[in-house]
Amino acid sequence: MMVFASSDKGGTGRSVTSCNLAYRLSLLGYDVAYLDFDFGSPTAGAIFEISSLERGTAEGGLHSYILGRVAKPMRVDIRAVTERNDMKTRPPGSGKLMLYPGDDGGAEFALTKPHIKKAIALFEQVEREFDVCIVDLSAGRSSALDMSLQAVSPNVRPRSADPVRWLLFHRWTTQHVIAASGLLFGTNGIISCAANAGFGASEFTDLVRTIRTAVPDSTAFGTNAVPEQEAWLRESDDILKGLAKTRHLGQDLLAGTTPLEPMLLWREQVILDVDVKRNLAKQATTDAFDKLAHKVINSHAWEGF
Amino acid sequence: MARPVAPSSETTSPHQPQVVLGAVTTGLLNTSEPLPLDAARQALALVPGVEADWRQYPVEQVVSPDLYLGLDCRLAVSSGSPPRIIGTARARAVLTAGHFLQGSARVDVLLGASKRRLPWSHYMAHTGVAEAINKARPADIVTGFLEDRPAKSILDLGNTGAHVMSLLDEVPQIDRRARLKTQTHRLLWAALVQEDVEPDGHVEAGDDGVFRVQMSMPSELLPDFMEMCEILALHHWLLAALKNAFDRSSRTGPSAERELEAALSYLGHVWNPKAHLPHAMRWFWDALEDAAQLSWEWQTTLTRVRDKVSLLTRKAIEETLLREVL
Repeated sequence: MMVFASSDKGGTGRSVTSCNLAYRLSLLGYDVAYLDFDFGSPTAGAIFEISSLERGTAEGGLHSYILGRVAKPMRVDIRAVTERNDMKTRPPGSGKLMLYPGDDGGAEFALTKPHIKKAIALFEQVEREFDVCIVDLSAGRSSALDMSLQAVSPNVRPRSADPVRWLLFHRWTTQHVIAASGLLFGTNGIISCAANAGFGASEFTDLVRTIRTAVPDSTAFGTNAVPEQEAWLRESDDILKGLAKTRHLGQDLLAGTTPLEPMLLWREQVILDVDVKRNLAKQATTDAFDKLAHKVINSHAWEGF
Repeated sequence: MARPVAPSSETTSPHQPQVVLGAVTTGLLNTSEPLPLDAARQALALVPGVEADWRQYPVEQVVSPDLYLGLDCRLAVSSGSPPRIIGTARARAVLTAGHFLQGSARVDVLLGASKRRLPWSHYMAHTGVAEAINKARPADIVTGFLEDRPAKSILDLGNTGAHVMSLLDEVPQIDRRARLKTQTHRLLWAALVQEDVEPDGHVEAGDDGVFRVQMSMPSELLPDFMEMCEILALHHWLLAALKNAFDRSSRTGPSAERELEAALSYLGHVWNPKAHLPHAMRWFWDALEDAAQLSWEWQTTLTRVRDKVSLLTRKAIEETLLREVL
């Protein structure tokens, strides 16, 4: 299964949520590959705490592979190379967790047919080994996004192949909702690109779900939230829900929400169960990631939104 | 039904290659069911006008004609500066039991033939041979090649094998619906050619999952040795694929029944390393079996898979009965 992670703007928590999603899926027993297609700033290495890949790899990463500079992209077993001690051991019953890093200093490129062919070959290869392949795309429109759409379009991908999911991450604010809606539905947006790549518009919309990240609740005011603050928060939330609905990003398209998590605000990293045990992270955060992981993998839930 | 044996070039070459390097890449053909023999023969006719070799018993196997790929690169060596080689590598695709695809690549390295690059026609006259234009010791070439540290402009025969495998992607019968999650493996081999020695060699299993085979032998044994490496690569891959499926069936995520069903129907019937093993290589295989016990491990793993299927079936029956009682 290919899962694409896109977002309207930087700083939405797309990469950090995707990395956490990958980690939770591997704990559930699935073999997971994480493909860092954020060619401008590959950060997955930093989130998984692999210091040699903090800004991507020096050579032979996905960017080099797509450009045809190497025949085989570099890949690393995250548990074998992470510096995070608690993440090093593979719990019994869990699956593989592999990172395909981007290149340090990789940049935008003009998309051509050979690039798309490379992407098709890459996707085929990772899908044969892994249950879930998460492709982290850079914020906004990019060649990587276009290339991905072309590589999974019905013109080249047999209908019998595993499902494709498209996740759109956005923060829960007025500006982000408007921007996310623009990225998806606007002129030259994802849906119009998908149509150019050979998808039917409604067929592609069925693949898309949104994820609202860092959604605050009343605890954001501190422990002593007063009723006025709670009421205000509820009201703001309702206004945003109304806005999302008019922008076609309502409940029917929602895959999940992740709560505001101080641990992620300070440091973008993978939240482990021990972090929750040590009271560093909220239980609600790992619960949200788990819920998301189940939704992504479950075809029934995906169709039945 | 016989496979090609003697490489045509060696009879015409004035020198014998001192080192022969090879790599076998092994994976599952991406189809839900094995390719029937006639379809496989069509698919592996990779050179227009040349038919693929095939044999039906005891295990179906189809071998593509040799493809030649131009080389101008450097060889990794364990000490000294990497020598530049120019010439061609030969590569072929091997499909066993309609489902297990291998890309097998080989290059014969000729040392000390010339000190500068000659016109391409010179190299085309000796296909499958690459000439080194800098000095290097054969033993250093063997060690450097088997270390397998990929770098820019260094010979990577594993990729050549993968390339040959990818030539089959366009075959219409390939429905991309393989039900088993598998990883592509590579095996590297290197031979020191010495006419007056008894063949002697060893196999190393690396941390990276790569088998490395090294042997000194007279040149007449090369085709047999290469075939044995293909057989070893295939059976190492089969074992890894079966163990992976068993491991996956013990997890909560993927469905245990589906994993085991695919493992049994794809892999259960194909273990037969001696089926096509050349006679001249039996001693090597027997020594390997003695040390690594691959066949024993295969049998044990297969028994575990079958036992698990029985237990899951019993559990399913009991649950159904219980539901009927309630």
